[in-house]
Amino acid sequence: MKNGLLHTVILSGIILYLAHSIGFFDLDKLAAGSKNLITFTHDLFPPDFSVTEPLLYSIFETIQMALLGTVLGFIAALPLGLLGARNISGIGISAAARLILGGIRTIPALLWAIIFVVAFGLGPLPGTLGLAIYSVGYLSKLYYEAFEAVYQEVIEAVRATGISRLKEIRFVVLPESMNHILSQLFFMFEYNVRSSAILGFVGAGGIGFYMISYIQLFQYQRLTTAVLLTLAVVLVIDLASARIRDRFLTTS
Amino acid sequence: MIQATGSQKSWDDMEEFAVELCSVWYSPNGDHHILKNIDLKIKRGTCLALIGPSGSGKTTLFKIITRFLKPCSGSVIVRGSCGSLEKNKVGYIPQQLGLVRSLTALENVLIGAHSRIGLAGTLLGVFPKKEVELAAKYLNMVGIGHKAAKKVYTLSGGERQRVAIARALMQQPEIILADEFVSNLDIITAREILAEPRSWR
Ligand SMILES: Nc1ncnc2c1ncn2[C@@H]1O[C@H](COP(=O)(O)OP(=O)(O)OP(=O)(O)O)[C@@H](O)[C@H]1O
Ligand SMILES: [Mg+2]
Repeated sequence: MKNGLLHTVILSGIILYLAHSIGFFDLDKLAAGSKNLITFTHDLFPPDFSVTEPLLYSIFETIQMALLGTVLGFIAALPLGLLGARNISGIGISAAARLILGGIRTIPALLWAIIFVVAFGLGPLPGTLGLAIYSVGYLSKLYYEAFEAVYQEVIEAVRATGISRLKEIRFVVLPESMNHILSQLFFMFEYNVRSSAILGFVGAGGIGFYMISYIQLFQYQRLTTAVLLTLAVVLVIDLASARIRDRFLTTS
Repeated sequence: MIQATGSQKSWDDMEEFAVELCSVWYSPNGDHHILKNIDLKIKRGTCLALIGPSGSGKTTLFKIITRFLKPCSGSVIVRGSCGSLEKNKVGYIPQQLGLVRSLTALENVLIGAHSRIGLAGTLLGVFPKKEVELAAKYLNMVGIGHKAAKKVYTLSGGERQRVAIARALMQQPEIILADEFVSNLDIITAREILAEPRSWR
């Protein structure tokens, strides 16, 4: 008990110190910041809906990027996930695959987008590639974990029939983990819709390009319109995706 | 620890034993042995029930015979009628049955035939008509022909057990290893099924 109290005190001390060093107790700074926030909020309203039409086009581009990026990522993630699953590929191959996938995951989507903008120039192409490769890193990890969760006895019983490895994947591993595969695919798509909005900040296409321009030009009322539209679209996609997911998933 | 010895015959008549374990020791972690010095010889064409209390190592022994586990020492020989045995000739029904729950009963039974069928059509889910008929026949034989098109996760425990049996039969195996064969069945069904192995042959 005594020990627990001591630990709590020490932990709180560390957290308070960290907060202090970041500037949480700098009252002057906080006051000035709050004032700025209020002014900024004031400037955001009323939204300027005159820019709705071009914004709708660019939001369509954002969804396009998210959809294509997710699909490309998915196509690459299935085989890579299989390579990464220890119960399917064995220790050696899976370790190598995991190392590569781990490397891919350490680079955030925004950085991938910057890399591809440098390589391919501005526009939705680098954004889509960035989302695709980011999706590969994450989906593959989620997938090899799903594949490894396939019950060992199922695999043993089926291997006893002398089935080939390719058919084992097609008739056992994939059907057994189909629920995970689909629900994580939808999750990835929702996630990519959100993050693709930001890719435009680095010139990789989509609505983010307008957002960053409005910020730089101090056109905050237009920014509000862009944010509201993004919010509406993300909500609609979330709802639709939840619906579709429920349709697909079988209970078992 | 379990000790089991099948019906024994002369040593020179080796080919007659389908399964032959010689002083098999097994331990999952290196110190505590689950199987201690097991000698087991099972004659071809016989039916042998292995009985032991919970945790005595029956499942472990099955996995040694199917070679999913390697013994620490001792030899394991599984023979076909003509010398060495291909893997697909051993039908293995694990304790939890090992069915693919999101496939139908028929598709599960067809898994037993995959080693005979080529790759091309099958990957798309198209099977030779002959094999589909055979699978339906085995499902009828174990009494659940009417559930062929049902997904396994909608079936009851006893029905699943029958699907697993049909899958093993579909392999047209020389040896069937069934772990906790009747645990999911009511006593009357259990009797029926226990009487059946003879009719499968
Ligand atoms: N991977 C493992 N690591 C450690 N101990 C294990 C492992 N597998 C099995 N055991 C132990 O070995 C013993 C035998 O297990 P086994 O599953 O073979 O028993 P069983 O005879 O099939 O029992 P039941 O009738 O309950 O199915 C048990 O005590 C179990 O805890
Ligand atoms: Mg057991």
